[in-house]
Amino acid sequence: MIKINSLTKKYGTKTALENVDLEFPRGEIVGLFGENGAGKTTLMKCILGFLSYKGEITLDGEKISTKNIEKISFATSEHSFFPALTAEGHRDFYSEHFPEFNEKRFQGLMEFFALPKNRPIRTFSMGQKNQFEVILALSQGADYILMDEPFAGNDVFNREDFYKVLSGILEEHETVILSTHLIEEVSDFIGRAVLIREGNIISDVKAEELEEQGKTLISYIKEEFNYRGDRVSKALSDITGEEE
Amino acid sequence: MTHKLVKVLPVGYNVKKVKTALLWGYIISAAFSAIVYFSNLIVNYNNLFYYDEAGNRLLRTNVKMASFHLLRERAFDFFLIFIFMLLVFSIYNFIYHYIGSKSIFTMRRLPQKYELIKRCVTVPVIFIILSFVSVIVLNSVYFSIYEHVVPEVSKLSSEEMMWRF
Repeated sequence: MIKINSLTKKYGTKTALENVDLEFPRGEIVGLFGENGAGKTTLMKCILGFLSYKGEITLDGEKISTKNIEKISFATSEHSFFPALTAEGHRDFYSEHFPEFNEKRFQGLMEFFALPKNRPIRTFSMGQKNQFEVILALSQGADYILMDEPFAGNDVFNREDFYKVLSGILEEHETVILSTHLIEEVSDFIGRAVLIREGNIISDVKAEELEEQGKTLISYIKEEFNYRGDRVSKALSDITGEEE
Repeated sequence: MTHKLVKVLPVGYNVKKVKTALLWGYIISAAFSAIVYFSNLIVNYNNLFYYDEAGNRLLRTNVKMASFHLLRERAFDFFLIFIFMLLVFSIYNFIYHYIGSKSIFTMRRLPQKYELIKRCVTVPVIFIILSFVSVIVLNSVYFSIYEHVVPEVSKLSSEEMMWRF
């Protein structure tokens, strides 16, 4: 389990995360939702130890360090592969450095997405780069897979394929923490939704709870974020001068 | 050697190109050093002599050889440039992890704590040490050649050397 206690992160005087308490048990698929700058990426980077912070983050009861970092993988829209290296080169590098690297899954996903194995990743299209980024994160052999907007730039068919593959290949002990704006697309895929606003967790709900309440994920999120449905028509009315 | 270099250079580097560039940098530095020193030595050495009417080559007893320090004055400049380039190379190795992607994220979450540093600084540091050692060795070789070649009478006294240094 990843346990976050009183996590606070500040960039100068700006507070990016404030007193965040969260738990991510094994086997969950968690959606992390919030506006741009809400603190989703910062939260992930704190978990990975890329940023300094106040508070405590533990992984299975231990502080996250080089001893247990291999249990966490990371796919980001910024990409973290080596552009000049081929897919095969990445496979060699990952299997050398991550003892639990899942070669079978890597090869299977490479074939499923028909990605070239002997071309430098920099020659891939944006969609292929995103796919490869996620393939690496899924094949690392990690128990916790952090994904930060991994499908940005992919077309809808690509993304749908991905959700299907993800739900098909994930094992019981694997946890996915997925930050995305594509709420409707992932609503059938996630089991829990965590909502972040201005560095605070404003809601943490399980899919079953939403089902019991008869709400969809998108309606719940709109409700929690106080989304004003009339704001578009009001803006248009203000601009054009016409009555609604 | 290429296989070993792969492990100590940033992931995805063209190891052959890096190896070639580094070896050429080293060879040019050493060659420049030898060319500068020996051309200074030869010119100054020839100035110690004159030819009489019969064509005999004779030593000018009133002319002193330039000091060793003066002869090797600019001989190691290319090594300095090479060392500076190696420092730049080392910094670039870190910057490389931000170009085209943020591969720095992968490097920073490896179970091997020092992998990033190992891959960024090992090769530059080895070549910097090699350059320093080469400067010391070449300096010693040049000095012994100077001592061996220059006639005793043409050498500056230690007092003169101090003033001319």
